[in-house]
Amino acid sequence: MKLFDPHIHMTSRTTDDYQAMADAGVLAVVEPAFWLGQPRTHAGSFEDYFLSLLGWERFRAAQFGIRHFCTIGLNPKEANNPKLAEAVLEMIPLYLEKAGVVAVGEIGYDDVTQEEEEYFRRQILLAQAAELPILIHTPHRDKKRGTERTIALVRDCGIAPEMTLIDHNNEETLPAVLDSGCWAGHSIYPNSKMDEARMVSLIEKYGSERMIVNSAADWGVSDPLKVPKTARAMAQAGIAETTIEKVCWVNPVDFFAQSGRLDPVEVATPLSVDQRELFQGNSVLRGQVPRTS
Amino acid sequence: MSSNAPSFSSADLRAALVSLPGMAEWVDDVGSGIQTPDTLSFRARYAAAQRKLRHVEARPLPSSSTATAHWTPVDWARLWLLREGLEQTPDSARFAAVETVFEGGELGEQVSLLRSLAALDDPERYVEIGVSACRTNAVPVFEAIACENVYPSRYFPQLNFNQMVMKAVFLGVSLSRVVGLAQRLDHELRRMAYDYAAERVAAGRAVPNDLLLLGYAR
Repeated sequence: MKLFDPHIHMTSRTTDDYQAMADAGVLAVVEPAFWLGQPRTHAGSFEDYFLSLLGWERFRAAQFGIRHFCTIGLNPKEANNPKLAEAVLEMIPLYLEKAGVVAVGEIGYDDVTQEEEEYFRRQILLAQAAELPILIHTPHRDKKRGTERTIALVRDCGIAPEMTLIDHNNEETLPAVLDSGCWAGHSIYPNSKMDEARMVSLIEKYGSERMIVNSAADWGVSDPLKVPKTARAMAQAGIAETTIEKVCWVNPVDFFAQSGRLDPVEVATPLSVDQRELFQGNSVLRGQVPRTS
Repeated sequence: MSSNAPSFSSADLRAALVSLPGMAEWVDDVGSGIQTPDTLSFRARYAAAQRKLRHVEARPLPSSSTATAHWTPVDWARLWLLREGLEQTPDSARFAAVETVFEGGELGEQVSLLRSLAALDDPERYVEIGVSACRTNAVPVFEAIACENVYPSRYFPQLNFNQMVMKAVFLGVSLSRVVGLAQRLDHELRRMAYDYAAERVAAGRAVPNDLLLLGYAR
């Protein structure tokens, strides 16, 4: 079965992870622009990060047969420094034009401050202007309230719910997100947030319409194989294969294909692997024999 | 003397520092020519204090309500350095100078700076730095502002205080370490604690005991 991980921070993962993901059937990923664990202090740091998502990381993924897409945006954790935030917002329209970008994100609330709301709103407007979907991070603290505020802001801006993916849902936030007509993402983590068993229950209860799962694997304790593992958990629970395929492949493809930058037929075609390739003179290999397929 | 002024003078602080074995030489060494905190010269001394003073034996120093027993000699030395440096800094440039030291600091420097925030002149002017520090996921840095530190309960806006407390719960940092929690506990924070407990119950997971300190009743 073809698998898609539509929220994973590959810059923080090793090639072991890419290999394991490829072996488990992950054919494509979306890597959202986010923070690095501590706040950046220069606008240039954002710019170089965006470039790495569009350059080296895309190349690294391709070396393992994985198609890499990304989202570009100012994340909520770094939206409270107006001087930096303004400078980042200024560069976003240019970066949205680049190949590989499939949405504006991750945007949203973190502490739910006025500054966060301003930059959240302005980026929704940028997405509408660029005709791109949006990927929304919901806060981990005061999540239900933050999600309610998110849905209200999305409505207020008038962006189509079908162009909106609200991520990191749980039992408390999912009903309202589904009612709003937006897509609902779920990040499956080893010890916190959502897990496979609870995800199975949510699929059984709410169905597969607009439901998406991801690993949100990053530099913290997380697992880049959570999409394959969730697919397996669903199969073991007796959920129909077409349903599993809808949640783990068709839905994320359909959502991000709305960008016009991801072709559903092309993304389903295996990428040929040629590890002899270099990116700006750099190889992913360190003495290994190059794989080609 | 305003209620925000530190409870000990720089002269007292210097005298206390030089009483620590091994510290006098360093104080004399750097004592002349301390520049404003945004200079490379200052920042290098602030950074180097760790490896130069890490062997100085910790002893109780004149404490006030703005300092606690967990400060290391390096923390004290850096506080003194910073206050001296800010004396050289025009009033309008002081926030930017402290911000430079914070943003440009590695983990240890950030910890020292955050511990010392309430002991600076006009501490409330640095509230953006304290709030920004809470955004880190590096636990020692978070603890430096959130724990055993009077700064948040004295100077943080309520929204930011509440978010800091909830983040402490998330990071597994004990709320008993948050100074002034009972005084700043408001209706909104109680509501956030209650909602979080409900979220944990819905997920079939244990409710952290610390939520009891926020008024949650099982």
